[in-house]
Amino acid sequence: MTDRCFPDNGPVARGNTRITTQGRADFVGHYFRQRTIHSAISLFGLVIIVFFLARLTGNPMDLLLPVDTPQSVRDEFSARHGFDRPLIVQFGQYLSDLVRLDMGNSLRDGQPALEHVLAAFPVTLMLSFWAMLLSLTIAVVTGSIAAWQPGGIFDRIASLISFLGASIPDFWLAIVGVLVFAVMFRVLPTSGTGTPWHWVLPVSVLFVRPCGVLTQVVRSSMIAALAASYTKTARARGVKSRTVIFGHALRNAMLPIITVAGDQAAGMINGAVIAETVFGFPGIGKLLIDSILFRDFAVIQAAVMLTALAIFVLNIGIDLLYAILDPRVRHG
Amino acid sequence: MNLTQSVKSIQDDSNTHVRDWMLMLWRDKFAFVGAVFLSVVVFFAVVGPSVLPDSALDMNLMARNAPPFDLKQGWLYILGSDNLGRSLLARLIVGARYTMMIAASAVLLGLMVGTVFGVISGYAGGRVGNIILRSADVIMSFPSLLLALIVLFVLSPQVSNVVLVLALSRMPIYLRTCRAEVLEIRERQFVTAARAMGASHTRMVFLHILPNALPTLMTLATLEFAAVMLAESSLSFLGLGVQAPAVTWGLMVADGRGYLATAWWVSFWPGLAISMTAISANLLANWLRTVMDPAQRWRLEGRKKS
Repeated sequence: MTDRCFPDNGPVARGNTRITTQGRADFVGHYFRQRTIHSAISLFGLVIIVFFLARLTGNPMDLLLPVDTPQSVRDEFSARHGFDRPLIVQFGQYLSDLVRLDMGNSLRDGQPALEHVLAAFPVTLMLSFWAMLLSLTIAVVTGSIAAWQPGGIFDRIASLISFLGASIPDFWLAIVGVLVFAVMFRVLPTSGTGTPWHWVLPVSVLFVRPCGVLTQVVRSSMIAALAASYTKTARARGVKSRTVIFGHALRNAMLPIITVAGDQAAGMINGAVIAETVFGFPGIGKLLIDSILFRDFAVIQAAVMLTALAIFVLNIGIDLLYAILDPRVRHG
Repeated sequence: MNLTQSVKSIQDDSNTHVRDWMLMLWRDKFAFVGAVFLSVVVFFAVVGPSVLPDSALDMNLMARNAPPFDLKQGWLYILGSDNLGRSLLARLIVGARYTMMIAASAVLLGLMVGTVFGVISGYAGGRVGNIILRSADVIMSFPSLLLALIVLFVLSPQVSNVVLVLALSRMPIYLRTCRAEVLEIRERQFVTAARAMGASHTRMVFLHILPNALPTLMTLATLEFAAVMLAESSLSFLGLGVQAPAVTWGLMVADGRGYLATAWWVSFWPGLAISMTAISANLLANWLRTVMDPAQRWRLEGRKKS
């Protein structure tokens, strides 16, 4: 649900970097220094917010210990976990642990929180990867063909379907998917990760919305590229239409598509929370929900940190790709 | 007589204005259907709950998990009932009020707060503007659902807190848009003229800048309505949004999750309602975007064939 910008002004949102004329290396260095500093500030802000918010949720002791636990046991428990110290001291301890990559232990089983998160992370990453690959491929092909004849029958059908795809809530899609494929036809399993079949439903639920949004972006971006004079020239020279679409136009229409695809990829975690909860998939989304319900501070913090870090890396990657693809940025 | 004439002409003017809009809506058939559907939902949300005061919570053990399209239990059970024998139709109607109200208030709150900060950041600029923008970036750099999940677990999940969280997580979008608009409008000639004539800052902002930024913001708000509604439904679905006895569509979908194999209708109908409403709102927003864009508007204004 992070449709951060209109597809139309996507490139503006990303391309608002000031381009200096001191040459490429200098510019790129400056640019990445700026981006890194901003992202680091955001990351630090998140660390603070998450820590204090999590401590406000109530005392985890009430949840972990039986109601009739004697006070001495409670004191011993909170001393062991450091809950009896002032918040600010707990925060200082947390920060210094963080620097040493120690994110604390899970309250549920005493295992390091980082281990839980690192175990769950690849699952979500794989899920998002397949969903993103699928939606990008389908969106590029469908959007390009639709843009070939705007207003044609294919364009209208594709536009309508992509519109529906972008509007339907993912949790309902998940429920209907279970209903049709698991309850009615009994062809797909509803939860777990054992076989490749287990991946079909979660990936399909995850891919629909990004695919709908991306198809619309590809379409509008391609319509603009196909109307440009270089494509007209290519067509006039008698170049095959497939080459014109995928060779000439698509390469130039790529920038806004990449911007929106990056946003959608960052937003994958939203869908992953839903899909993993519905399908009992042991990814980061399910881990996060479970930890929130269990008030497992350490795991919440570790999961949020790693997610934010992943999005940070993703954004840097998108920027790099942008610099590679856009000669104006590359030679700026 | 002169005065009455001009008053009459103004009335005519506004009448034709409304008619023009209606015509433009009629020409986009999808948007028209969306508008009709939304009106029906809003009508039920406003009128429905007072017509069926208790039916949404009434348990009828004779009608537990009654299937849809079966009139044995009366019209109220045409969509079936849930595992406690509560009429799904009545719950859908009562849920419409909560769902609509939460989404509308969240959009309004986000719009207002975002506009205020956006105007400050764009008009004042400088250090203050930068700090505001960076704070918005922090909120935006993190997936909205996760942010809402974490905040909602801290605050108790009441209706007002859900609205607050949804407004907060979407606020940066209004802020950025409003800031960009203000930055652009600030440099236009009529604003420069007003400044030269000694207009105060208040006058400049409220009389010259805001009215020109409003159409864009309104279009954005319509588009955001669907997104906020979906976000609220996701939260309720995950059990971290609005809590029973309040009824929202997302909560109803969650209620039916355990009965998919035996009573599919319990979560199917509310999900369908969410989808249809979101699609309608998006179609309408799409239409509004076309109308507000002078370069696109001709598509909806009848072109006379000569």
